[in-house]
Amino acid sequence: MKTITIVNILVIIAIALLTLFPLYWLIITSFKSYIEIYANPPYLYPPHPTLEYYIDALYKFQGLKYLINSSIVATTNAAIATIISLLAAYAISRFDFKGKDNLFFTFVSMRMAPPAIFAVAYYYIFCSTLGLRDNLIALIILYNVFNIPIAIWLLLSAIDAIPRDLDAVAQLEGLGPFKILFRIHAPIIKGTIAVAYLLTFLNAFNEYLFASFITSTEARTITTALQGMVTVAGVYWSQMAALGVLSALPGIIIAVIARRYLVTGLTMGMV
Amino acid sequence: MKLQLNHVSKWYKNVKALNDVSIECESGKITALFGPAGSGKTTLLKIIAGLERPDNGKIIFGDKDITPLPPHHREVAFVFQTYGLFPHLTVYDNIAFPLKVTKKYSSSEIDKRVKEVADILKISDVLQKYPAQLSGGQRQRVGIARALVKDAKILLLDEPLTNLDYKIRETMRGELRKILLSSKDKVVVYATPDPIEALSISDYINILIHGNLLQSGETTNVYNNPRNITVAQFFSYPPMNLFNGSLSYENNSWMLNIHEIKTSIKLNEKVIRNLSADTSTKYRDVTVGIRPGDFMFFLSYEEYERSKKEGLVTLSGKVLTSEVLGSETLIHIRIAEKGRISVLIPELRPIELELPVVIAFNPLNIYIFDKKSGELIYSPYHIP
Repeated sequence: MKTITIVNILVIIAIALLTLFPLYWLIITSFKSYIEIYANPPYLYPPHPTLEYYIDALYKFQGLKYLINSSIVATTNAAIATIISLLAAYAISRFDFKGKDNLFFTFVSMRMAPPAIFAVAYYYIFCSTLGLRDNLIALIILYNVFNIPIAIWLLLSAIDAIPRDLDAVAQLEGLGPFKILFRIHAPIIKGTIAVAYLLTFLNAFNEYLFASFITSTEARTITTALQGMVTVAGVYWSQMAALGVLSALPGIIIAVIARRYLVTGLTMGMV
Repeated sequence: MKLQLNHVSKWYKNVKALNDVSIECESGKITALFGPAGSGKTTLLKIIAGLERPDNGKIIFGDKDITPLPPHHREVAFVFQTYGLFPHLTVYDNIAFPLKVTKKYSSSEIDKRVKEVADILKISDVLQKYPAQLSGGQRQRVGIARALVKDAKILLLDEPLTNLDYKIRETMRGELRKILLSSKDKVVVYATPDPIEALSISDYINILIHGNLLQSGETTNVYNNPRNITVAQFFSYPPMNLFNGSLSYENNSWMLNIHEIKTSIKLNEKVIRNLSADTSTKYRDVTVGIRPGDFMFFLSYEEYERSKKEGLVTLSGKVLTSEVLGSETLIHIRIAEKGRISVLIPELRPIELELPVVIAFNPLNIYIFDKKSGELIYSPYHIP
């Protein structure tokens, strides 16, 4: 084992500070009043912490509605993407069909293109043609374009790692392809399925570009909600910070939870 | 009940994996499928199981053509080379899997059968463990237990001992034959690339090389009378010593000349009578085979004389290398300038390099193959 030196420790502390300080600043800002935010020298802690800005952000500025919208979109889209990707990954791993190599390449390359390329096309499809402007369903469908390739890539490597002998054992007893996928493969790779869900959830929750031009008032999600805090009357920093903290929470929680599953997923014990 | 494969062929893309293979397997006996890796054994087993469909041919069990039937209607059980255990299930659940799937058994019935089979395979104490916690030998036993729990009429084993280490393999060979034959009405088909395993476990053997069936018969019979050089080379451990030779009629007697070791043997009456060749031609090119285990090994000519063995052909040479094979030693000896003979002695003995040694063999204990066709024309066990 390499011994940890003073230099290592200093570097770790420096990186930790650099990474965590903005987050800390955001959190304390959400508890400070306007005057306290602009104080000089700046307060490194909130002197009179209060939850009033959180309540303000959630109700007066409709933050609660936007959080709910984001959650609906993210949970639904992650579920759809994960199931579709599971079926697709299974098909790619276990079956031979015409155009299989092309299909896989298509999926992977979709993820490689910058999303902004599709902006105009999607606006035309979802908003003009389908009339889904300002509708959560538009986002739920749209995010699949980027989430399905990621999930397929994850799940495909997991299913490929399952030995085919296990399929043969199940086939010998008369289990068909769907039963094999759900009764045998799914329990073995449940960690990876969880990771796929969490990653696609995060992607959908934090998406800004498409949410910004497809939604306006009813379907607005949390990522674009912060714009509403910049008004003619001034910038509501405290409430903005509060909303920022709330929208960062899912990401932080998932990162903490998914860490465990990531380790399990990577060290799947194949016998 | 007899299992028959009639003229089975199978192509994978452009490769012919099985070429017109027909075999018969009887219940109450262990039938071996012998061949090196890639010979088609696994493919053949999968076709019997119903996991693959043959491109040509039929599979008949008893009097029923089971070729169109899916695996779960065929009453087959399969033991995989890589065990095929479900990592997310306990040993108990792994063994119970075939019974639980059919939904025909009550949980008390399942419990009884699982425990019975675990007892036979001596894994009763690990029923609640997961496969990852077991050793290789234990995992294989679980795989076998799962195959036995169904009481299927056809039991297929695909190189079950190949992935185990040497010592366990030796122990399992003896146990396995007993376990597999415990119920007299099963057809057991056992695929292996290991000649010793085939010899110790099976009653009948089918030699499969590159998808072609080269020879079938009782295992010891096929071993003693390999139909041609290919069979002799593959189905022999250690590999048979092969030499270029010629049969010629000189001075009113038949002489066998073995070229590389510069030896000539006058063939006696018994050999000549047993030669299934046409002895009217006075000369033919042959390949001569002598098994490494058929040699006697002496450190000096005096030692040989003291052993008082008569009628042997002696050769002197120098040790090239020696290797340990299990509990025996295989010694490679240089004879004349270009000859090389491998000799197997049934003990572990360190041998110095360059040591001058004397080896001897009985001239009746040889195999003679026609050089052009490779066909056997004489074996020590030959029945004319």
